[in-house]
Amino acid sequence: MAQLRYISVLLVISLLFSSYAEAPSTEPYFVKMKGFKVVTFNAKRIELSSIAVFFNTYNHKAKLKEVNIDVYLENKYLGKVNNLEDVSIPKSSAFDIPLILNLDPPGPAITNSLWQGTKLLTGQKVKIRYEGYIKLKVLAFVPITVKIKDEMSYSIF
Amino acid sequence: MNKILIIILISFIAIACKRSESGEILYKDTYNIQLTGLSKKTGAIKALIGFNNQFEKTDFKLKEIDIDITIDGIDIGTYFSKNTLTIKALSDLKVPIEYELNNEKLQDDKGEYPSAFVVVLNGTAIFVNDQSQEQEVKFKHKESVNYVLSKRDKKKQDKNDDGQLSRSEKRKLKKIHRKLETQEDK
Repeated sequence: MAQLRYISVLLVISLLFSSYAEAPSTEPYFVKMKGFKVVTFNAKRIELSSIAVFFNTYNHKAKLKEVNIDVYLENKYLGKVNNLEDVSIPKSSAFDIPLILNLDPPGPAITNSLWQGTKLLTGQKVKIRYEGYIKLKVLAFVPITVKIKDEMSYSIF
Repeated sequence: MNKILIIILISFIAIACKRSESGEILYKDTYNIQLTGLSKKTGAIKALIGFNNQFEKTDFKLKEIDIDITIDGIDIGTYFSKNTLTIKALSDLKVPIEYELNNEKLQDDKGEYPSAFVVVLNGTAIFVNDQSQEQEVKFKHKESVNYVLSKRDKKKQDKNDDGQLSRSEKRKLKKIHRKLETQEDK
């Protein structure tokens, strides 16, 4: 009985807390990709890095909880980015999330994208698509999912 | 028949005389770059980005602006804002920007700052008019910015350099002394 009372008090407090927090008119959103780099691209290892820029519409700091982004090279699946970096997310501001695709060993990705890889290394433009989501936690709310979909032609020169 | 020909001729002349307004929005300069709060854990970079509207009659609104900020070669982050500031025809606009800094990124191995920072702002601003015509303005600004300590920070630093104690530290010490004295008395 005492436990039930304790839980109901906690529930009321959390409801009050969430009703007082200001919800923004729009949810956080993806802005752009930048800083694409080919760190390594060979038969033993593929490492690509880039930065995804998002905007936190909340008037509170947020925490990065999950990264789940698929990377495609010329429409062929290359791999998944799910590295969780320690990123500071200020209130009502843009923030950068470094995305590092590290395939070690590359496995089927290398046979799928060897030709595109050579194009990349010789300085030709190739299409790279990022598709997935990140999850942010603001205050004690349920994590907010922010979708990302971006396709750009990149070259390393 | 003659009347029709005259009307067609006049309308042709009218169309030919109607000039479409030409012009563009130009980036002018970046003003008043300031680095503040470097004595704290997080500081801020502030600046004013200047634009000039060369259209004679058309006002534009700033739709969005994004700026990649680099300080001393270190990627600090991206400033992004969806704004509704208006730049009137044949006039200037200064867009204020402010971005939170993680001060640890700017410190050397000893936790100290250099006396000047090389700030690079590389950005794109998109303006839009009432007819939904967009003007994209790209800009890049590089400037060496001196960091000036505030009076409060200077006092703090001087005290630390002299090995002197702050007021709160003195109060704490006094309390400890009193406690020790009372214990000795007992």
